[in-house]
Amino acid sequence: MNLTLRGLLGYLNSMNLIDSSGESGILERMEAKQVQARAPWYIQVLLGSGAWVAAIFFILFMYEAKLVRFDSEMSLVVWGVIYISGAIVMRRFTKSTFPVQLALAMSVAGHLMFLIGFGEAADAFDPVPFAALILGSVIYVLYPDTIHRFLSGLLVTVTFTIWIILHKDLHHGLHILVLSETLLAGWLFLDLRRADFKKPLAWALALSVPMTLFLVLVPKKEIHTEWWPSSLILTAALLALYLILYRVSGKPGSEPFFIAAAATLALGAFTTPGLVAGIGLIVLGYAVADYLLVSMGLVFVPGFIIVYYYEMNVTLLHKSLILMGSGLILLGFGLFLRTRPWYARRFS
Amino acid sequence: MLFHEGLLSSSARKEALAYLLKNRGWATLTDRLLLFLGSALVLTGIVFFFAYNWAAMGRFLKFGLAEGGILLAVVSAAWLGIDRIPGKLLLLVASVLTGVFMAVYGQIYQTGADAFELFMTWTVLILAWVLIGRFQALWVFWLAVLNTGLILYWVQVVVPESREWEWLIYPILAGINSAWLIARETGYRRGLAWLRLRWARWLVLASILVLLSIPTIAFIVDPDEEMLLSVLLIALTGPGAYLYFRRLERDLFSLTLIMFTACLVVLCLSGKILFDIFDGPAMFLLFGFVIVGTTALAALWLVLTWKAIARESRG
Repeated sequence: MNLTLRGLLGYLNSMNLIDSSGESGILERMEAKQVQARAPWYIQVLLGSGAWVAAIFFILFMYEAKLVRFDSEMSLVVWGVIYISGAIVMRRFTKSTFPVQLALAMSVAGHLMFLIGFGEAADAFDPVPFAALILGSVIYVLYPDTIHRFLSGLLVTVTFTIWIILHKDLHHGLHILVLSETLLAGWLFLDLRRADFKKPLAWALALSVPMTLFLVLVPKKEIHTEWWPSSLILTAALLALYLILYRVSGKPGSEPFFIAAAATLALGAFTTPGLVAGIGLIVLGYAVADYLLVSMGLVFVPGFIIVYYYEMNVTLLHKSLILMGSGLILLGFGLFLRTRPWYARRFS
Repeated sequence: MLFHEGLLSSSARKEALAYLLKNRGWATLTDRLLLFLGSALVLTGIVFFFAYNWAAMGRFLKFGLAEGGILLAVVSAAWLGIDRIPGKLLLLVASVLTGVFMAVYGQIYQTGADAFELFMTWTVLILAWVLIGRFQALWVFWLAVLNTGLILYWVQVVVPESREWEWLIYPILAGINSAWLIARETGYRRGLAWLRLRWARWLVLASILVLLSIPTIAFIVDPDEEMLLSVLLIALTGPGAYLYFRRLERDLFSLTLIMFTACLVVLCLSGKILFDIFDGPAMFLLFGFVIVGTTALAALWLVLTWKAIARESRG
């Protein structure tokens, strides 16, 4: 069924929940919003990529002009703050494309200089994630830009992930990070108040869940923790999502819900958390009609499988059995679904 | 959002959410997710299993598993029907397992065949399934195997004999992929249902743009007549592709891919000119501004195009 706003409003009108003038008022308001809506995500990726590359050249300029030295932590921190402050001021007072893009590039350059300087001053990576968290929280409020807010959120989770990877005795903290990212992402997506303000952070956190699990595998280092706590967290989160969707949709027939829940439980008990995270992104994205999330999930799953091949904690035989078993669980439930009379009626 | 802006009452909101979620096509999503992911995971698990047991497995077991898998997949596809998604997926599974079989064959018999020969044979062996399958994923997989075979042929046979031909592989692959894309677009515009989803267009278009931009950028950095064909192709076909996706298809994602490639080429050219002519640290700052300006201009162009497409669609 092709869902449209007109279709929805027509339905509400037929249920006497809005009248015709309310319906036309909403349509006019939404058409005006469409004109002001931000550009599709792939155009924003183009802008973000350009900002990153420009930021590197701004830093190279600072270095070549001897305005900053990479062995001088103070100059890096000071110039980082200057760049970020300049970017905030520029962004708050302009909406034109060139200054907005310039501000983004300056802010990225400023962040890089500040965090590198901060890390050098501490002579360790440990305080960097906390600095990124404080900096990101302050700038999230001050800097009204979708791409920047998304990158700020992602920067925090990536730095915390790197911190955990670097310290063997912190590897159990991986599960706390996954739990935090999952809970916050779920809350931000399902609570629609101030959506424009929260959405970039919601995207960043949703992407962070699989990215955390992905980044942990990339360095090919031994991870000193079991995977099952993260599998449990993500399985529970998916089940909670199904429950919310089931209740919000008015509890139509319980069997589909139980099939989905059973498949998820079986998968969560058996498979690696990376796959559950990828499936979670796809389901969440579909639930909130956010096809960027769905695309992230579809891209993440094969990427994760490729990196999983090199994971050192588990033998190749064990991995092959996990993947085949996971696949058979999904296929088994898929075949069971097709035998159900209500399913056959729907698609006959 | 309508509720939070005071445009809907809470009872209207509740009813709207129930209406939207009930009609989201969850059954279709669940079915497709279980089927596609399940098949992909089983297939990958099989590949991992072969990788683990390679040394320990006897030749007959290796052949038996690969051939048995292919036979099972093909028979199941025929039984389920290749007009349906499960049947088409099984053809894809059979095609992947054919590659596994080729690897087993090459390893056991030590035929001395080069890797490109195995890939090209793989391409030929699965072509019939690709043609009857009418499945974009299978076509894209076939193109990927064909491209890999040709690259290996070029690297293993052509280049060692004559380095002059080194860069010619890029326009050749771009030409093959473009021929496929043109055929796909022709079928799409004629209304073939199995070509409805556009992801294959985007993937193959991206591959063409990468294949043509690499030698173009190399030409900018270090001009050589070997790369000239790619430069000419991108210059001649780029505007045509843009017009097709703008005027006929109104596909903003394809236009973004083209603009992204154009930005890369323009930035390489401007960087080369700036850094060759001028010197000093100010060049880095200036080039940073050039990057900002170029991407901002490209994004602005795309946003205006996006709004124009939306207006045209509303009629």
